[in-house]
Amino acid sequence: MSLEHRSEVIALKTRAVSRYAVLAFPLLLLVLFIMYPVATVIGQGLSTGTSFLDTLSSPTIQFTIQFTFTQAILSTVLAVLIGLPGAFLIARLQFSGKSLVKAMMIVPFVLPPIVVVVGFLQMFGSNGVIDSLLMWMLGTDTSVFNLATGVPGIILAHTFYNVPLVLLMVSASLERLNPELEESAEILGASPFQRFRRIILPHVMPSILAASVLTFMFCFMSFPIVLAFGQGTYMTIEAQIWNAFRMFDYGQASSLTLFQIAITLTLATVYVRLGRSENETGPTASIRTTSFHRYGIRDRLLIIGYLILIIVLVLGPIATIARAAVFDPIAKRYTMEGFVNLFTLGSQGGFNYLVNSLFYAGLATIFAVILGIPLAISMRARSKLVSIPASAMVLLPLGVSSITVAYGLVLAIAVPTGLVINPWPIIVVAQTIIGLPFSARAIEIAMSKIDPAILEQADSLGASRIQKLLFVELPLLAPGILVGGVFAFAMAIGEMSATLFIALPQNYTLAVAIYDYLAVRAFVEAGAAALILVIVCVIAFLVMERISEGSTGGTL
Amino acid sequence: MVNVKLNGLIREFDDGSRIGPIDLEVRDGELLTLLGPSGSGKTTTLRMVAGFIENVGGSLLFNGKNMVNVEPRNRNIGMVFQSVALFPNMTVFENISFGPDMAGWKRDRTIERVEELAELLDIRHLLLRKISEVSGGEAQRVALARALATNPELLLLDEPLSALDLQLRERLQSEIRRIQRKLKITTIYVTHSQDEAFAISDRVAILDDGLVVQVGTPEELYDAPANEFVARFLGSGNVFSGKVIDANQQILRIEVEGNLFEFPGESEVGSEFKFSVKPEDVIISDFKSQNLTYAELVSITPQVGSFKVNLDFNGIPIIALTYDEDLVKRLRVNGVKTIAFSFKEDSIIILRD
Repeated sequence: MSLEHRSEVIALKTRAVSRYAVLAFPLLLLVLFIMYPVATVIGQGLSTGTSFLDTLSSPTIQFTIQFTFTQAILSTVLAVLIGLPGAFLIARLQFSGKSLVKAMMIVPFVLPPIVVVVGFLQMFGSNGVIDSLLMWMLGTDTSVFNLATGVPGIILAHTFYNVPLVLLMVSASLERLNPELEESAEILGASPFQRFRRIILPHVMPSILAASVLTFMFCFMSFPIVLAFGQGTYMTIEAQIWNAFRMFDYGQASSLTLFQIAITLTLATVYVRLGRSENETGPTASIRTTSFHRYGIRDRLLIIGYLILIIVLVLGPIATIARAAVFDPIAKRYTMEGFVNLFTLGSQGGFNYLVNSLFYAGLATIFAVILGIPLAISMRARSKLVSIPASAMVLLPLGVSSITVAYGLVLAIAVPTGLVINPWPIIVVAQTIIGLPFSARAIEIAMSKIDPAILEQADSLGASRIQKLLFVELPLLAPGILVGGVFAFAMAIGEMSATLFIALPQNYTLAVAIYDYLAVRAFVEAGAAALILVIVCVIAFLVMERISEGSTGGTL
Repeated sequence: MVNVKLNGLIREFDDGSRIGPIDLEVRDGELLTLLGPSGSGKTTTLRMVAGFIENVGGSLLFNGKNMVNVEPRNRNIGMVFQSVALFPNMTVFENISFGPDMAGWKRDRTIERVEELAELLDIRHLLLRKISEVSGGEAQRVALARALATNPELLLLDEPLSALDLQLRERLQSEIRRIQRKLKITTIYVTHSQDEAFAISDRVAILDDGLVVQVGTPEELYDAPANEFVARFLGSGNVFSGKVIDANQQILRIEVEGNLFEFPGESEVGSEFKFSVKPEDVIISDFKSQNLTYAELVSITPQVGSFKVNLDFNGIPIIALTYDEDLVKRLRVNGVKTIAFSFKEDSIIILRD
């Protein structure tokens, strides 16, 4: 081997090593902050305290498991039933502002569940908007209507969350259906019903199933909503894990975590499989839409009725949070105390929570973006050894709940390092883990949109690797990075489950404080804090919309 | 089978543009092609015949019966779409039998028909396959079989071969032609490719900007383009425009870019005048003489059996075909830049506008 040749080989090897170092980074994080903690939890669950079998055979736990499944199934069925007509409307009805409506579907998803609880109390709860209206109509002073409690509250709130999901996923699938397929069937003599049954339904079925599985998983792992409306009587497995941990029954908590992971990972696998099973139907240049005035009178009434239902169910709770911030349902009067409280210093005031929220979420966002870039690069790596763990890291929140992650972090990292005394770094880690999939995904989407020819062009013009990165790739990625950051921030600041699990009172964020306020019936304080989070989410949404020009939905 | 008449068919779009009025007759058993650049209204016209889009004016007659208010599925039409549009959730067999199933055919009759078509199109071996397992060319055959399954009276083909590579396209063109002849089914074919239109059609209708500008056999269109658009679009003509200087005893003298051309014809002195000359009717030479017309030589491209010579005549591009290898060699070796050209006798095609 000549000397020249050898140095060339060494150079090549160094480059390969440095590349793998970047790509191995996410893998390392995955192991350190997710796999190791979760494995610790499971190990402990199997070895100490209440045993796995004892846990699962206890009547209370069996009730919890049954309830977890039942409410998830009911919520899923309801979300699909309500979401499907909307999916067809979005795909087939021609109206202006359609892309805005589609984009707004993302808002409930970004909205923290605990904020949804506040909105639901205000819309459907006792002394809420509907209740007040009924009381006024009946001329009575006592509350007559309350859906925001117990099982109806849980299921309704879950439906609220997931109707937009069903709508988005199924309408996207419908829009991918080549209209010439339906025309082919039509010209071959198929009636509208036959076309629906033989062409449209088989096409959208995978998306309906995928949306159902995803909805089921979200409801299955639901925590804040169940905690707030279940009031200790109705608990999901997720809530029971938290409860067991509070009662120092680590054996039970870990056993339940293991059980939950087994189910959610199975469902996540099913979901990923389903995502690939849609038939390619060819180009869809001209999606067939019909304008409203073309529909008959009966159809129009149905459409309007449906829109009212959606407005009440989905928009209602968001809009009425503004009322929740200023209306005290106990004293039945309007007040600014909620906002005053938010800016009150000291242990009685909420200012501390506001600062904590911004500080933790800000840090988590920075980390999520910094880590999101190598993660996104890894997701696009040609080597499966790199791309699979990277994609797994992004998909993991689907299968591993925030309580599980929080529990693992506390057990495996906070306890040994003594961080339990002031666990704020653990909160930042947890919020980073929750925001990271969104930042990585947004950056990855931005990367996939860069035409490789542009990079080759830079190469051919003599740009070095660093120059290419600094002057070509990063500027092109900047919007994607910004969208990812905003998304991660919205997820982090609204995060309540993991934060509640980890935080000591001095670490409370707004989201956790809302739960606390609700528990002591300090409704305006909760309302004001919720309104701040809604405003943050709406701003985040607007920024994302502005930057990504309406393609935000892809990040989901 | 069926005779199709489009009488003043009009389609208006939201942006104010419109297609039509289209007047066209498709004779019983013929293959007529709608040819034109994209946006000229070919597909819209075809979709009005299919009934997928409504016309705002005019009538559509099948054997004299107005079809405008008849549902697409009751028009007895077979159609092959640009995207092929095979049902991805069904097998090849199920795709072909879809029409018969919808029409409520007995099972035996359906199977017999599918096998007959599979034989005709040479796709027997594909019948049990999924759609994702057939190639582009095979998919076209399946789509054709599916369209023909219920013995429609009229076959509509919307750029069916545009996604295929050249070789496959040429093979399927002759296949479609063979089957259409055999079944004697009235067919409307849409394409933007002149070669394809000329290879496959009995007659071709040329569309420009939503109107039919000329209808005729490929030979008629090539030999006598009606206007500048047709001449340019078919690539059959070098188009010249000039002024009539003299019109005596049916001999016209036309001035084009300071040069005079003489040929038989009638026109008013002083009027604008356009004419076209086919590339094979342009004679070039490297002689120098005073009464010849000269143009700049731009390029010489060899092609099968001839050379294509591009000239620049004061800004007007001229294409000439020559078979004279010696001439080409001389031009190349001597580096000649300016050459003389003239037109064969009686080769001038007078354009309407």
